[in-house]
Amino acid sequence: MPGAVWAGIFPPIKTPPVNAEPVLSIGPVTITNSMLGSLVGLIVLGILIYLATRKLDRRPGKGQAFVELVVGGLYNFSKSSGGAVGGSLFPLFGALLVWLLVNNWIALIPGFGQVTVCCDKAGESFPLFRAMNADYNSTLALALMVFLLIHVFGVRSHGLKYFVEFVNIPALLKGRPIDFIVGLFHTIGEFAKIISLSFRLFANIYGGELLIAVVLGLAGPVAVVFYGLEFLVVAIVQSLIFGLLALIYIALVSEHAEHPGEHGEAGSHVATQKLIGGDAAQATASA
Amino acid sequence: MDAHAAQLLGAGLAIGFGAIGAGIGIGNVSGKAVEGISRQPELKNDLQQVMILGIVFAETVAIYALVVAIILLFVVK
Repeated sequence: MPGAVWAGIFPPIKTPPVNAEPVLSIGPVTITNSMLGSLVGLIVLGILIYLATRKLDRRPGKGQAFVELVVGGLYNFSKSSGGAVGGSLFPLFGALLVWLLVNNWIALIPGFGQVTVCCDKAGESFPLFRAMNADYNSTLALALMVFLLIHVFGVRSHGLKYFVEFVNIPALLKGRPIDFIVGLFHTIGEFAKIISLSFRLFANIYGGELLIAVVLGLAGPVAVVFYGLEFLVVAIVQSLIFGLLALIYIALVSEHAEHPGEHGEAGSHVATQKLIGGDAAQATASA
Repeated sequence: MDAHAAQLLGAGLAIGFGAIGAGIGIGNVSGKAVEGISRQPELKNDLQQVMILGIVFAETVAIYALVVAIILLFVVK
């Protein structure tokens, strides 16, 4: 049995718990090891930014050219996927992506979890630093921030009539209760956005940690494969998806589309004319 | 069947059934994307972006099932 072979060489690894272990308490505030991990990510990001923008030149050297390539690529991506507001929302998209990417990557550096501290509830020592996104609190915080941003941008684009989409009192007053129930479903969908955004990131990163710990305990060197997968695929894709979804949700809410029922007829006329072409529309108009 | 056995069985079933739907969904999306790229190779980048988005949404449901399995294994006493 493979487990018996490796058990002599690699001791069983303690699987990381779902809750982040608290390290110290300053009064009522508890600081967990995930928070310390995000602090390390902040320092690393700060160092990277300082190194990237140290000697800016009109004729870029290799380092600056690489940074310009990355930033320019992200800006073009943001403009192409964000519709009309893609360009102006680039700071949000870029910040989310880079912040999550740095935090997901530093957690995989060998030795990151090796600095251990005494003692958690079971009396064993636990790592001092842990991936920021392996704690559901941090991904929930980011998802709530994005949720607030979506609705703030919605009110900014459509005024207070934006809330009619969710609490559809005018439809109820006009005697169409089904539209009101559709509005309730929209509200539930908004909460599904929070849950899906936060859980996707948390489960990917925490599941990666768990998988690597379990495979290390079972058959040591095979875990390198999962390290590689986690590093090259999961970390990049999940941070990209978080930023991209934030961008797309806000772009969907910021577009100045006509609300159905008010300008619906005019909107659909314009749309069909563009699709079919002038002749067909004129033919149907004369028929 | 005692509680511990039911817990383990529940965790296994949760992620097992969750993965079936995700596998079918991702296969569908990727297949359609490949068809689209083969029809119009010049749209490869756009189709690739839409495919990645579709795959992430399909994968999310499997991740919900994974979270249930993790809760059953590690959080429920």
